Amino acid sequence: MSLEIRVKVALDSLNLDVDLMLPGTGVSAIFGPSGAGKTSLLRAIAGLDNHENGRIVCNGQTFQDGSVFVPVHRRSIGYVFQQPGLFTHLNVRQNIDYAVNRASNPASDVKELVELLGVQSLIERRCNTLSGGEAQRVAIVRALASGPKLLLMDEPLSSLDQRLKDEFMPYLEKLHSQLSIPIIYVSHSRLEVARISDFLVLLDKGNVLNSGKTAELFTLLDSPLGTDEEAQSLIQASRVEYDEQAHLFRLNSQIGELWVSARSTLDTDNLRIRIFAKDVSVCLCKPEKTSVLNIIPATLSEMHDTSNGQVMLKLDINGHTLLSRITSKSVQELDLKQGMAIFAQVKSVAVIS
Amino acid sequence: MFSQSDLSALFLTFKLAAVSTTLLLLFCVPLAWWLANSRWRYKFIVEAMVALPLILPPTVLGFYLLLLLGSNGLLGKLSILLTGQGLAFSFSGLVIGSMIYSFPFVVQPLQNAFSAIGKRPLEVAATLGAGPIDRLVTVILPLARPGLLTAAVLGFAHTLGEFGVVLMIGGNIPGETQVISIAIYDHVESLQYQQAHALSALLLGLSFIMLVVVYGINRQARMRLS
Repeated sequence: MSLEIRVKVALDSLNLDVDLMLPGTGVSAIFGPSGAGKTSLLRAIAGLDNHENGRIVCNGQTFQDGSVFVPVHRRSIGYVFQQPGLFTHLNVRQNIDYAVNRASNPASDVKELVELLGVQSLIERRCNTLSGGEAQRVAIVRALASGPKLLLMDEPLSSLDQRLKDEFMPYLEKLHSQLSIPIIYVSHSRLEVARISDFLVLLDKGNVLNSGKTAELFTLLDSPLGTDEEAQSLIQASRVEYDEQAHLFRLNSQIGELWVSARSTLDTDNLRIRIFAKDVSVCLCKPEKTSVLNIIPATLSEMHDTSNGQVMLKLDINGHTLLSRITSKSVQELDLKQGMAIFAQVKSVAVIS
Repeated sequence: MFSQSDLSALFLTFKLAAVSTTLLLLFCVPLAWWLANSRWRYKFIVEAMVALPLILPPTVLGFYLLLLLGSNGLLGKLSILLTGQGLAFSFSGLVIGSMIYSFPFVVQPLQNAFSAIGKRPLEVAATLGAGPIDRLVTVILPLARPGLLTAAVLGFAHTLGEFGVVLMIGGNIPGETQVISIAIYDHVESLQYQQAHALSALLLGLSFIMLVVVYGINRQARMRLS
């Protein structure tokens, strides 16, 4: 079960040269700045642009290879564009039926999809009366209604304002946990990628900089993600209890017990949390009188000088990674060395999904 | 009010307009689609050719058509070879002339409509499993409906008012090539003002109604987009 993608083409503004193997399940994010070739890559996978010499194989099904080129309408894919692209001459139900009627193997649970994405109240509406978020949800139902073997999403949230993005994300997360088909998700937002992807491809100027599991790539010290201002660690956790008096959740995480304040009630036991490197400081001995709640013993496994007197530390905790960014002056004064046993003080933890 | 020959001119004119418009639509849909979507460098030359009938004097158009359709012209010879009959001074010749005369009035609204649709709805339809013909019938044509209606009405109305080209290539054979505008001219020449009046008023009224329909369609299309 895997996706094999080889695309090599000179476009107007860049040379797209990609040779990738993506997992055949879960969400793979293609992440990079605008102009990196993310959309071009997705269009090549879908067959919307026909580039010679490509090779696209999706879970054993060859879409393109040598002289073989399966046209878009014969690939069972779902494609969600940046703009919803609903047919304005049809209403919401007819848009969804358009996909169902043409599918050789339509989704058996269209009704559930409609409910999952909160579309049931819109079903008889004309498409030009929908808000951006509503239209994009309909577009996703429509793409999935055809029963695709692969779902491609091109920055589906980019046309929405921040409030709508926040409203929309839970729907995407539900999809992620309930769909069995692979999803390729293009984005330039690190938060979106952190929230929903399992596998990550870093794309820049048409080339793959790096690819791997999202949580691992986020904390790699030789990747731009692991060294810049926004560097962060992604940790899996499950909820243990809620302390009503303290208004805090106690979580059992990959890096041990964590106390977290969260606005909404956390009811799932499959939580993803984010800890910014700048919110983690280190001590040589266990701090006792401190306001910081989360103090975790760790081993210093790697150090990387970034710039402006800052150092990124990679801390190993039970085989999982936590990043910490401190000043190089602190590194000197504490005389930090690789392999030292230290304590990480985590000032802020956010549950992101 | 209308004489027998007036009625037959009326009938002929409507038949000519209907046949020409239908053929034009069939021919112009693919051309307009190509014009709207092609990125060919020299597309502008084709666009200029399409627009030529807008500015050429109908007599110039008619003159060249006469050469082309006459018994020594390329199309005329071809027609004699295939059907035994020439094209000049025949209804078929008039249809060809009208199609060229009304060409830009049909192509341009279609081209504008297709440009406004863009490629996205087609790409969406393809990802949903629709093949090329399916996409044309279920996506392009319904979305371009205002443009199609505008093109049909303008092509029809413009052909109704044709005069110069018909005179050059069709002459004035009652029942065969005599259209309304020429009948009006005849009436005026022979000082039959009343008959000229009746036909002119009819044409004026029809033209106005058809333009009202076109502008009404455009208004509705704009409202639907916003």
